Amino acid sequence: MKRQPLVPLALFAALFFATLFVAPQLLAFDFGLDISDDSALTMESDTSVSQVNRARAWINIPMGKDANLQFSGFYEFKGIFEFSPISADITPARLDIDRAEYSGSMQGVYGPSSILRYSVGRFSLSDFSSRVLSGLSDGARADLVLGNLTWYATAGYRGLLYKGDARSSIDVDDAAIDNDDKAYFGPSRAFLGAGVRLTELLPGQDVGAEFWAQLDLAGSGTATHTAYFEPFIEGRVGRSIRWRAYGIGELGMGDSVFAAMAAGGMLRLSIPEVRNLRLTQSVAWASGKTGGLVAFTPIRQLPVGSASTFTFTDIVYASLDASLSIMPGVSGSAGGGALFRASDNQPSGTALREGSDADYLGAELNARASVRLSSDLSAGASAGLFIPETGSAYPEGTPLRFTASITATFTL
Amino acid sequence: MNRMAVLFIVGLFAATGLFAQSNEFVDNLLSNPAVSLGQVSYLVLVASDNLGEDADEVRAFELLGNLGWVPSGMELSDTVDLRTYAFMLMRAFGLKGGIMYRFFPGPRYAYRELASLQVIQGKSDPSDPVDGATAVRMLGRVFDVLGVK
Repeated sequence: MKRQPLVPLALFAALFFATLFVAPQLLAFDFGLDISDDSALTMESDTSVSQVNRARAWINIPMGKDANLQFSGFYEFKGIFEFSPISADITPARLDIDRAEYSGSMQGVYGPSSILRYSVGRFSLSDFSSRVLSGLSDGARADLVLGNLTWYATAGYRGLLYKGDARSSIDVDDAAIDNDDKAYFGPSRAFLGAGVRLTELLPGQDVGAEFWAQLDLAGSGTATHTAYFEPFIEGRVGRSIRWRAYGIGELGMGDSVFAAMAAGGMLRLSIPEVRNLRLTQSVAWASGKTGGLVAFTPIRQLPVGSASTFTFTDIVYASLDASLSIMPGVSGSAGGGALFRASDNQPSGTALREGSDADYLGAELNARASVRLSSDLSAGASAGLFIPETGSAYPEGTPLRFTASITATFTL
Repeated sequence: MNRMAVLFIVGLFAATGLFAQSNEFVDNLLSNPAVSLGQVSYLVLVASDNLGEDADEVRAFELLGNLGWVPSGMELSDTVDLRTYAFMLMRAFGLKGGIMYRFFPGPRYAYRELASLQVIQGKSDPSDPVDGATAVRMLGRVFDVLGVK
């Protein structure tokens, strides 16, 4: 009797492996299974350990010469364990769609040198800087390339994404959804985007501008709509130096009309002859509530560093990173940065000293290494340290925040 | 890589004595949008020193069968897809492959191994037919991976 449950499992396994090894030889598609583990340690005033194990099944079907259908979904186990007091927050099974994208291209639709590229479904989408929108979205995108001019337009909906992936933090309704343990999906928000890029306006230099709009479709609470204008420029100087800069103006309408801004830039020196050495200097600023502006609120909120908890709002972050290929299949990077608040308001996380007028919040150090053990097995490790400034910003005794993680991925 | 670069690779190998395909064979190969099993048999077996350059495609296909590398049901004139060509390259040059390839050696994991090694570059599908220029380029990259001068 005890063996009976193994029968369907064995049948499933036999069917899976038979399909895995036989079907791709017969049919024009490829598919597989990626198994990954991400274990992380966080030490601040308390210590916690988290583990995320994911099995991701994917299929890739060519649809003629110039189109492709990709679909992937995953099962995920997630556990967060804390030690003082001892507690565990376990999500034993999460099933979701990772990617469902039909993409393709057409040549000569608007003249002999034109190319139309399109994507429909759930796919990765971001603005130029990835500071307004990034990650997966449900929607459609079209790019029309006319010589050195590229026009693009997109529209989509983010209310069917898992709230942890949507990372929407625009108004108090979003915070309520984020804190609601029963809520799975992110806030009901749609977006529109359009942009233009002029390639090689000057030798080696591209310029462009994007417009993004976010529409709050939630039936209750405060409806907060936002719009973003993002001009950008990027280019290269010689073979070794690349640079980019952008600015973002945000205009919003909720209980009242508000405005916010952000900007950033990056300068990278690459020396391929020295183990692919790359030195990257970057700086990013997101407005806080000061001087007629409010805190910048992107469509998808991302952290700015690796060890601190700050996000891209009311912040200035300057960093310097170095990366190199240590040996074939092994790469590493290390860097550090300084964090400042952009207004006199309290930053997220630990409160500053009462009456503190310090802007400097602290420094970050980070290091990571990755190794490709074989074509189907890779591993990585990373560590980060946030050192709060306790001279005039944070109270004395504010603990350091240390994070470390190891990851491994095996592809079947 | 353009046609001149491909010709350069072929010329380089010929000059270094790694293989010296006949001009006729190379011309036919490079102009072919979908190479046959016979053509890649000759190309791979001669390049890997499993066959003398004075042999022909029929002899190469025969040897491929003797080595047990002919995919089930395929004939001399059948076109070759990327995963099958990748498997032939892996076998002929003794490339080790990843964990799954070692347990289940076959076209599926050979394709992934060569994609991982950048022997297969750009957007491709395992079932895509192989054109002559691509076949030569991939062969050149296998020599790069092996460190053949």
